[in-house]
Amino acid sequence: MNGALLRFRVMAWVTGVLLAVMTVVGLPLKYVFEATDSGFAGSFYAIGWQAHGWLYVLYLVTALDICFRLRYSVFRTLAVLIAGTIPFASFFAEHLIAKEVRARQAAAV
Amino acid sequence: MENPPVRSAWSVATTPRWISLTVVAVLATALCVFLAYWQGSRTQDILNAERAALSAPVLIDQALSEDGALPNAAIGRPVVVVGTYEPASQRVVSNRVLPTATEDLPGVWVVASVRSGSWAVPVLRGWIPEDEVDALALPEGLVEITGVLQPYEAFYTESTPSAGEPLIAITAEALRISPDVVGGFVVLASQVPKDVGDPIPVPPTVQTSDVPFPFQNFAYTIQWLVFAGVVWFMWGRWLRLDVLRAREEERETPQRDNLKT
Repeated sequence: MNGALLRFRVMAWVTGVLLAVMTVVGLPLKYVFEATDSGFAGSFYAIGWQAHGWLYVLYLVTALDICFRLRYSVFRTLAVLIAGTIPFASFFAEHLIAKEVRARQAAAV
Repeated sequence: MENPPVRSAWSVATTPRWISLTVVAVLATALCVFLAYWQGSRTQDILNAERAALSAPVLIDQALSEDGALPNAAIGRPVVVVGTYEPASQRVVSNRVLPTATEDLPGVWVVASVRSGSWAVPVLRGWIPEDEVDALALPEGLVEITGVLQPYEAFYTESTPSAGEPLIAITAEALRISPDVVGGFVVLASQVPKDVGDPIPVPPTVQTSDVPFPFQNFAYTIQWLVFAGVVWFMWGRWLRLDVLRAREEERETPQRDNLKT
């Protein structure tokens, strides 16, 4: 359980931080400052979103793993999975799941 | 006492709850596969366009579809147009620069319609300084134009142009002397016969050769397929949990019944 939790927490943070950066910095770069495809800003934008795509796949795997271990319902699990695509939502998912694991472990002792 | 028959996975899967969950899973899969297909064809289009841009020029009729539309695969394709300029078809697209090594020279683009067989083909003849527009004549007689097929400028943006900057699409509308104007325009690269006063050819508006491999579209294709797989992984996992739960309930229920009676 602890290994699965750690993997999920790492992916929730990595995916969440990148998504937050791409939303707060990337989107204005493209749509407000109209950074073109060539040059640093354009490459940053393209590579950032591609990286998020693959990191989200890893996030899915770790999130499914922890949700199955916690025996979450279908809809709760879907909420955790979708949290990886909404800016800042994965931090909340990570916090709630970590709290729940701690609570369950405390109850089991 | 006789053991009750073990609840089968099938009997759980055919409960109303699981039938609706399965329908949702099928719909989600269809959506994922559709999006994967869409991203896959985007990938393929970009690769095809690059191949087309590097291929030898063909007659424009061969690059266009039969109704004169511009297929995605023909964007950036080198073509040859043989025909005559339609009289009085010349139009000017204002506020266009000519990029040079040192600076962008202000000027205009000159567009005219070439009658080639059954088609009217808008041709971007090139760039000239604005004060030379009035003196610019249309070549008469048969010409052979080699150039690159391009979509109208509103193709990607679908934006309405501001007053000072008509797009090629608008110019093509103005060129719609006959209803058989084709679905794209040709950016002239060279013309035979040549005239000293010809406008300077400009680079294609859409660059399709020398583009990087579309990693993003390709990655999205794979990711949508992974998501489709995740749907069925979840489906299978929860069905198994529900089957186990149902069997557990079955084992407990008879005892409770005994207690009641």
